[in-house]
Amino acid sequence: MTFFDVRTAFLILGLLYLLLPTVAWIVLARQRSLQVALWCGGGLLVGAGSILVGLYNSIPEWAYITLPAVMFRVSFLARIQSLRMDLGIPWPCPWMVLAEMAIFLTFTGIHYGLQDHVLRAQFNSSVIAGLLLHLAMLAWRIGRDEQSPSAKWISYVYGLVGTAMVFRVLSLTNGGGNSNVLNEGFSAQLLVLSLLLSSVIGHFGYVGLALDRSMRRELKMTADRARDEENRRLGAQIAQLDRQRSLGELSASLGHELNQPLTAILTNAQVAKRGLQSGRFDTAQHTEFLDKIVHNTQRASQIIERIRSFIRPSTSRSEPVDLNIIVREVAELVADDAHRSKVRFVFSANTGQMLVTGDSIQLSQIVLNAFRNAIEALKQARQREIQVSCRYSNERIILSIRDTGPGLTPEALDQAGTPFFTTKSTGLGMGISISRSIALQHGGTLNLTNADAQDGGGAIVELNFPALSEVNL
Amino acid sequence: MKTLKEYRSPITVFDRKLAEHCTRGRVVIIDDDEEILSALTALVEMEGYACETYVSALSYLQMLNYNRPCFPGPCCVLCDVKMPELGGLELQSRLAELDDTPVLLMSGASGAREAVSAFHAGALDFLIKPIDADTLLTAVDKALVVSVERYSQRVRKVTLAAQIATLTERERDIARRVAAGQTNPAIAEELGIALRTVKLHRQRAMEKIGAVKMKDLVRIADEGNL
Repeated sequence: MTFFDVRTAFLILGLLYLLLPTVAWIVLARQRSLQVALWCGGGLLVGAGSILVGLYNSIPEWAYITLPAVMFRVSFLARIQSLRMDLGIPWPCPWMVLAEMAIFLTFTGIHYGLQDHVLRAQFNSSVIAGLLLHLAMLAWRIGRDEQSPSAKWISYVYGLVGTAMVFRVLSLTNGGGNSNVLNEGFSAQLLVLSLLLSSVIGHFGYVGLALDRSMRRELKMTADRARDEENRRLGAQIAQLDRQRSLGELSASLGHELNQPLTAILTNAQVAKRGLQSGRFDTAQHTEFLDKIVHNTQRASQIIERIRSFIRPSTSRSEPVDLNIIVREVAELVADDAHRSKVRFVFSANTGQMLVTGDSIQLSQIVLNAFRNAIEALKQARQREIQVSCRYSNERIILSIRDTGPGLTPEALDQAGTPFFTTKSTGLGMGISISRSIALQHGGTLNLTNADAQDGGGAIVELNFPALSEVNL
Repeated sequence: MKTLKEYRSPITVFDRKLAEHCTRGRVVIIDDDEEILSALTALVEMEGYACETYVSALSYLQMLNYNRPCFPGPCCVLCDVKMPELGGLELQSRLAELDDTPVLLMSGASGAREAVSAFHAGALDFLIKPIDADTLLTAVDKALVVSVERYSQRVRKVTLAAQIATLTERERDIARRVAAGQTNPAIAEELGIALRTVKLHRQRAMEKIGAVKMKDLVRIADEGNL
């Protein structure tokens, strides 16, 4: 029952196992990792071992019996470890080295001590069969987990090799075999055939598996990017909603503010009308009242423009923004609120332009949040001031907004900025976290601290942005 | 040393006009918005009233402290509710401690709560901005009328007190008894004096406090702590 020469088959197998892992290593150039290296390295060891087996009798005995046995075991251990790492359950290395050493000692003990070659072959084949079947099982798990046909093929083929190994062990036990695999009949041929199959399917399957994986990774990365994009969009929407909410809360005071110019317009118009009816006014007087009406109309439209520019949904823009201007515009926006709460703004000496790159509306939102928090904090304070300073330092622009209120409690200091943490009964707890994410988007930071108690105390919001490079101070 | 004559400056047309306006009525307007202030002033002055303007309630109070004007004419205060430092409602309560000047409050469509507390504190009217000229002028008119009434009442009280002070102890006693409804014989008997003497004292007392009939005496007794 000799279909072919087993020795030649082993030599061919050796060559294949040297060639194919190399090919796989080259093909997987872009996906290389420790796992791939272990798999391909294991393949090379099998190849070298097979050639040593094929060189039977032309080299010293240890080189075609002991050494290949070690190489086979190590190679399959390497491949097992490769798959286990993929599954995230690697075996500890010292443990594996110890196990291999124990097997090696047993092996040499049987071979040289007992001189029982059949038992040695049985032992070694059993160990390798066990390793192969374990490998097949791992491959099968990967195939199941990742739904990869390639991994399943690897599993089938190593299952086949393992079974052939078991078959050899059985035939050895029945006394039908020879301790030297080359002198054996059917079981050796079955083994070498299955090994040939494994060389081809094992490597192509592995390449397929690795490529599958990288494709899936790319797909996942694309999906992640899409999700990030979506998150950013949602973030912008939340920020927009927050702006609208802020405006909603400001609307009462904005209404009052808008009412002022309207009152002036109505009264001036009625004065002019009465003057006209009674004929008491001359042209100059009429012009005066009409001028006042024009002026107040402009005042009203400025207020409306301020609201509109703040509420306009904007895709994030990137333009030079002067923080000093932003701060003053927002102070105007909350002026009425501050007025009513008897809060005074104190701006540090004008330091010229403070240019950063970013979206003026989003930056306004941060400042608005800070101002409104400050006004809220000052409700009970004796001294009611919001001190705003903006300075240039080391290519950064630092905007500091400080109130003279009671400051933040340690808990609030720790928690502030966590979404949904709030100390206000009506708050949503999103303000600072939105502000912080806007600051981050602008390459900046937002820090909350308390001022020194000797210095009067109070909370400080410090914003730090990269300055626009062509800043002219 | 200069004589008083040298300090005296001649009366100008403007002075005469101001005096004339003051006799028609003086309106104190307080609003922190200068545009509104000037528009309201123009409207009120056009109606021939004298006008004083202040950008804050505090500055008005300070003026009252240092330089209380004593224009005899009617006067009212028109004040915005929402102002920094001192709001209209607070000003109203402080003014109430000082004198009885009628106060008109104005506000931009603020809540009913403010209006209610304003009326409780004795505001004459609560005007919602933007204010129609007719509404405003009617309210000012009414407030000035109230001012005149309060003024004449005050004057009456002062005169009455002076008149009552001229009564002798006996005259006052008898006038009080008469106002309380006692008859002349009853008084004579109670005091142990002649009926004729009672009639004489009664006659004199009524003449001194300007009461012609019995009902005048009763009214004066009610008003003037006889």
